Amino acid sequence: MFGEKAVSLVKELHRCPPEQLHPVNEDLMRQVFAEMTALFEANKSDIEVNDDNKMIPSIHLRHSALEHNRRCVLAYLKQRLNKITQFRWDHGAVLPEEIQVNMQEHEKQWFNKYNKSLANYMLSLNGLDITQNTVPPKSLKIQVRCLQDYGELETDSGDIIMLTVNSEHYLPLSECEHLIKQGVLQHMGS
Amino acid sequence: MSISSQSLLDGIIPEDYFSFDSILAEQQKIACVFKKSMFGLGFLDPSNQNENLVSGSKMELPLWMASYLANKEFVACELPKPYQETSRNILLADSSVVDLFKQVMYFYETGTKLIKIPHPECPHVSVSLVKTFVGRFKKIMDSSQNCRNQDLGNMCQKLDVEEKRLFEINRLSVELLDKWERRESNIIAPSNLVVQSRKRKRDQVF
Amino acid sequence: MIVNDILEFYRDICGERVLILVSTTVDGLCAWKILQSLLHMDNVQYTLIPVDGKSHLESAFRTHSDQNTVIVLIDCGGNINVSEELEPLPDSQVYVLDSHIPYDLDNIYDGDVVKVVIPESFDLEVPRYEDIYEEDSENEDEPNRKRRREEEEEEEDSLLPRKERWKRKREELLFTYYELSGYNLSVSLMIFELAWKMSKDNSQYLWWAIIGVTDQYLNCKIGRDQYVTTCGTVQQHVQRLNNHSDSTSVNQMKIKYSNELRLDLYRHWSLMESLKHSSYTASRFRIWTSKGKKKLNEFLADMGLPLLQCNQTFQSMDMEIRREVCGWIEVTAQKYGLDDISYGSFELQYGFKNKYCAGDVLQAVSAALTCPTLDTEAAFLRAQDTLNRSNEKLIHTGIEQSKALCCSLLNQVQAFIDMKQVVCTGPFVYAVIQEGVAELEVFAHPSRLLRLCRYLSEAYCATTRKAAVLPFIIASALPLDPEYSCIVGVPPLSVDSNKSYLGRAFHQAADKVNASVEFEDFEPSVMQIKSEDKAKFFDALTALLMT
Repeated sequence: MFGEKAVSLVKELHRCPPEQLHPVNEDLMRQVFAEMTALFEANKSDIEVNDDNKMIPSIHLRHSALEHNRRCVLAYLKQRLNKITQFRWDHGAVLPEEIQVNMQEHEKQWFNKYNKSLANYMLSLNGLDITQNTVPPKSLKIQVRCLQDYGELETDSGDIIMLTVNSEHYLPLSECEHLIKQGVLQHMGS
Repeated sequence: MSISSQSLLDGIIPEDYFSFDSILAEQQKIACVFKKSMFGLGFLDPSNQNENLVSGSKMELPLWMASYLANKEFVACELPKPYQETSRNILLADSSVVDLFKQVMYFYETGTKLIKIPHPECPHVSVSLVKTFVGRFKKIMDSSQNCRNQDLGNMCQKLDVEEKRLFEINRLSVELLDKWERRESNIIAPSNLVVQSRKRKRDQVF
Repeated sequence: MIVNDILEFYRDICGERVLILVSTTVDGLCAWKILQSLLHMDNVQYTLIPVDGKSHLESAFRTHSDQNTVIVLIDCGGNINVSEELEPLPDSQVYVLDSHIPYDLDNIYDGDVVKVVIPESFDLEVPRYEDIYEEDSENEDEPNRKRRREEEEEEEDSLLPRKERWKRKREELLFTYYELSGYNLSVSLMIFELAWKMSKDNSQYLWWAIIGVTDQYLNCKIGRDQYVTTCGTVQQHVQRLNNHSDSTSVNQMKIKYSNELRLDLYRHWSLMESLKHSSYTASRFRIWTSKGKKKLNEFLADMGLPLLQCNQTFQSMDMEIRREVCGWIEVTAQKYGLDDISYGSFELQYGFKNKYCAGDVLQAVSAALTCPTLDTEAAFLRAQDTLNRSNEKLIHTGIEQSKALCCSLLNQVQAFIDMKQVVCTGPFVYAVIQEGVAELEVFAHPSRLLRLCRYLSEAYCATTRKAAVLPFIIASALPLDPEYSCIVGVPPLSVDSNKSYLGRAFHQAADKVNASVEFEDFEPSVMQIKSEDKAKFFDALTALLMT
């Protein structure tokens, strides 16, 4: 039956856990495109060859398959972009290696453009970083525990803080929120 | 407005165009009878020896195709069993005990697409969908709000995908309320990516 | 320099970024909890590093000190020469709050970089500056150094009688000053009083201070008299804070003074187990002998407690028995020679379920702090979480760990006594934990080893009364590095004071032997030595203590 490969593309991405991004299944996509080309060619030749209307039902059937395939592929690509956007908001402007490796060239370019757009927008808001403070903060400073040897952290005021494993610090929220998101620091509740 | 009968070349993209749920729901197989012959497409039916799909022959088509063709009057569709009169009567009797997931994974989603097909029983089906949902709703809300720390497998087994999602949202909101009461709601969590990669590393070690 | 005004200390550290180095003792931990809360209230940025020994302190100091101008050492650094060992930068301030005495004289007299915080009430018996340091008028252009050791003076005419007398007097003073090492006022109580002076005190802080003080007493760091006086002070705070709160809500934290039995963890264990494992009762009943077991059963029978009840967990005992049993024990104990079975302590109640006595919480926290499977900082952070009220699970884990520790202690002491591994050499008694024993890992941490040592001294002295005037020493190979052994000592049982000569004796004996010796821990009577030099060290120590 037409359209099954396209749906399996969708199913594959549907099964993927939200925090992972598998590489684009180019093989399957090529197969879907091949099917679409075949359908299109068949329709084209049927329209040109036959003057009577006996092929019309077949043409419609093939056409519905073509539209379905297109829908599946577009949804697949769109969902991947949605995931990448979500990573930007969850994790930060630099994605971890295991995600970057699985991104296509176009997706990387798209991500860079998205970053630029977001940065421009934030600049236009007088430098307000809207990806921070996703949870309403209760205090200016928070208590954090360092989970790995990170090295030196330079704060906005120019102070340098040495982050060694298992040290605790009481730092302004703005300095350490991105490190908490990246897993270097752990936020301790008071 | 029958969305599937419109060509997308109109430039109007329906809301659920990119929705995975919608795509997967439309995979539901529908038994169809061809009203017009389809020449050259006999290979689609493996049991058919003919090179054409002759008018009057029966075949199972996916919902997206069946819906498109039915609206163009090329096929006549039969409702799948879970939406037929017997099942509807069972649902009317007591909808909360029926295992919707086993019957049709996306019961409601497929149902809403089904009723766009020209079929005499469609209005009954749409009434039945609403009544089923209403009948099951209370139990879902109740069990999702009172299931702290319990094994959820049993509770969710009979729910279709949309109901499962509803259950999950509700359960999560109760959990968030608990967290807020324990004053843990202001703790910033590491991003999902980090949590999962830590879990993976731990599993690798063992 | 000495700083008497603790408020001045606090004012100085606010408004800057502070580096805090805390030693991994319960007292230090409790002091830190209170100080941390105060710093949070004043929005002071800090960096916290737990340290468990001198070299750890040095390395942490070196890594972090250049980024911080204010550094606070809690429960460490008092008895080492901070300027020399840690080399702080000239424009930084190092505050030392330590309960280990005697304080190194250079910390007190050398410039204003190092400041020792001591409340006015305490008399340090510090020799005067003039008696220790010679002001050399010829070398005044030496930058920032007012004090000079008078080694140069030796080249001078040594027949000058005044100089000779001064030198000899100096040596005497130094000898007397450094002779006895011990413990001062608990740091956690010091910081509690700081909170009190700022009117920021509350029951939670007081409870933490109580844990710190109880740690000092139950681990025999201070004597009974000092403890009783401290309890008096604490009791005043308790009454004041209890009267402050108007509400009668059961959720509120209430501290109560009560007589506590010397039975470890009996509320969380069964009465029988607690009697068998607590060092006080186990030693006096000689529980490792069959006669001792019988005597214990007699004791219980004497009180009218059925064995079935005693073997059940305390919470499952009959209500009437549970209520009265403490009173019965106190009365009956007199008959069996356990005169000191109870001591004054405090208990905490919040909510219906949560009632803890200071001793139990102390055991839970110290089990977490000295846990052999975690490394220092992780253990410190875990112990810190255990002190939080909201972490009931952690307290229970801690209590389970301390129960296991109590069993290990009893087993080891029994092994020592049964296998006659306790050797009495004239001036002291010692025992060595053999390599390959399973318990070696459990006693890896020096404070656990010290506890074992005290337990052994109580147990041994129950049979051999004359050993009560002798100090006890235990040597144990380090599980991670068997070539090295850890040697700890406790003062004699009969001595009830906060000071002992043992630390000094260890140092002198180690010098004589010229062995490779480390005094890593801040506690002077704990040392690490190469295993093969153990015998030499013991000989030197024997010779030293005989004189």
